[in-house]
Amino acid sequence: MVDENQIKEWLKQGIINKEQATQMLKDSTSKKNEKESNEFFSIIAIIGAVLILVGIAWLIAWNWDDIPDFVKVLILISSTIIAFTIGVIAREKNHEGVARALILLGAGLYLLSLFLISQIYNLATNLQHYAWILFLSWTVIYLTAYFLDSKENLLFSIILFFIWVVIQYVVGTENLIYNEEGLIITFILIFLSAGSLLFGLSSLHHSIQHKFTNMYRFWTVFYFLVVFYILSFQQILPIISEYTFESGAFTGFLIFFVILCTIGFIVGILFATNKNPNSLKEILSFIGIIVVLLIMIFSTKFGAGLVGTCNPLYCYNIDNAAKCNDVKEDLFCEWKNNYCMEVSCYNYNNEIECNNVQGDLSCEWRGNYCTETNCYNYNNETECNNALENLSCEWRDNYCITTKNWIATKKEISLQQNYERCELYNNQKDNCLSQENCDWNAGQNYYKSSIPLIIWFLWIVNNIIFIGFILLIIWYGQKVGSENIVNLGLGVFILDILTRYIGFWMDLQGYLAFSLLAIIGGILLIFGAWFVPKLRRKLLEQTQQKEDNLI
Amino acid sequence: MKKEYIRLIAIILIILFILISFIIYNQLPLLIGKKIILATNPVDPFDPFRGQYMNINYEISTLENTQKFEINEKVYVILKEDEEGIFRMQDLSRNRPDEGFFIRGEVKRVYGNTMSIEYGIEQYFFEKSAKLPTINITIVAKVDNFGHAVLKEMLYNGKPLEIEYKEFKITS
Repeated sequence: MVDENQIKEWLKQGIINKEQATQMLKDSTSKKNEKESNEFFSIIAIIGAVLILVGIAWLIAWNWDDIPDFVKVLILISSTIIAFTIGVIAREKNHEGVARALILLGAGLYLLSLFLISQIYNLATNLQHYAWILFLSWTVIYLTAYFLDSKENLLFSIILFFIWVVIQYVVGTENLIYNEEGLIITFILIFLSAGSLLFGLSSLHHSIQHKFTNMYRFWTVFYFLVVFYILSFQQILPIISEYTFESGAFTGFLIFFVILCTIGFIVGILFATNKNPNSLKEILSFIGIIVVLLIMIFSTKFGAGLVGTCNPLYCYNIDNAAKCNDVKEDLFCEWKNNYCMEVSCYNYNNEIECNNVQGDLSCEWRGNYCTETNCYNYNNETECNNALENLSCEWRDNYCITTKNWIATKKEISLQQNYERCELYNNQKDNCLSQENCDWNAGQNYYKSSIPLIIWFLWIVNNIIFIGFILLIIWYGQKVGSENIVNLGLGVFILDILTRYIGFWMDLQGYLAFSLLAIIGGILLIFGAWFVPKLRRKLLEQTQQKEDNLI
Repeated sequence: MKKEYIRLIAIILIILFILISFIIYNQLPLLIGKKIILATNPVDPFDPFRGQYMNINYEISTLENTQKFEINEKVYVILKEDEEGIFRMQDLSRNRPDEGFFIRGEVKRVYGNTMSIEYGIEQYFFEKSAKLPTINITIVAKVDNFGHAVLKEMLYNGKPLEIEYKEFKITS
């Protein structure tokens, strides 16, 4: 489609006369209006499809017993087939909006059919089963996107793919001991790999001028923006810095996924460069971005062990009987049912064991539980008055309360001392771990003033790179004529400003800081309300021209 | 025939193939499997996509780990019927037994000498708001020659369970 400026230029150069120019402008405007109107009705039809899916999902969850199982399955499978068939016929008859909605509806009904069958056969409700259902869904819906030429199904399958990857990965880490460091870096790795795979696919599609190119571009940008966003948090940098490749978080599935994505990326770019050597520049820029990201991740090592809390070791942090027994006296732990537990009346689940507890603990068996002997346990006057003498209980205002002054127990004194001793080694990982019964928690630091310079430096550099990447994305969106990418770039820019603003609000406290931040925030919002829509309009107009020229 | 219709037929065939295979895989033990009855200890949660269900913990869900099984390892639990008709654990094996009653599970957790095993029959879906007893429940399952079990029905005091349904209203 040609734009107004182009027509004026042709008129000026004498390529077309005034009459032709007027007619062309009229045609161009009417086509544009028709396109916008079609798009609007397509969106309405798609909302309709989503509503139908929500309704059917609700009916499945109702699990109506009066309808025989095979009838339920038959209804859903035939609805799936009918939706796809009518969708294809509607497209033939030029009802594009309805066709798109029905093909999406077919994909959704297929997904619901899988859930219905797993309900009928009472299949597992664990994460692995969800992962299987999602795998069977995204693969088939991905095929429908190509076979039935459906942008919506491609979007649906990319979303399901993303959920599948995360769930399948989490299944493999379910049995891990809590390992925050490893988990953050592995999620970054998942997003990076998925982004690279999508870039490979977008290059491949671009080289054959496929209409799905911009969809892949959008999701590539999305995944990379997520990674940059994660790396823009000051609190997360010290946590990432403690990653080790020996961590159990690097599961077999993760390695398989990274290899698969790398292969997809390589195949995509090889195909693209073979078909169109000009794409090499874009590919090299993309590899440059990956290198920058990897440098950002590896550079966190400069701040390793400098930010964190030195906490007292707790019984539940210990995973072996020998160590548990070693700290028995200091931390009041006991090895029970293969766990290291704090000595407590609740650890005993039968009356005999409960009544025979020795040492500082005083337990009693009440209402099928072993509880610590306490005045509050008694809820009538007689029991209260007959309580053990050392408890000094008294019935007052319908409650049994103790009249004894609170004196810290040996256990409470010991735990408090441990806490004070370990706290001295906050932000000093090596010294913390060399202390007896102290444990290091990276990143958990509430004393902002003690954040080392290197972390501030890395954080500022990361945020500058992040802003630079957003600007690059907005420029890229314009270059390739994708309004969605431009909108995504602008959206993330606003999100970044909001996040940093909230961050400053949390970091800087006090009346003056509060009032300054409120005033600056207000000015930013008013300025943003004027500037962002203006900028967005301008960018979208330019992008639209580019898109029209491409058409 | 037009290219679009050929593609449509291809996608319908793929979908039918996957859905029918999924059904057959789960239906097979019900058709050819051996019937076993297992003792239970149920609770009652909700699944957003499949509705209300009962979470069933079997007597054979927690067993003594005498053979040092590891997490995610396959385990064949060899069963023997007692005088009440309930199938209880007789032995454990890493390999599929050639004959007799057995069920295949996967070790999910190991605590010292005990381990928790899942058999894929730990849930029973039922109509929303229907009333089900949660005590004296036993489960009838069918197990095929590979030890793959599918839950068939629920027994209350040894008899097929009669579910009490809530009266249906359009606003319910």
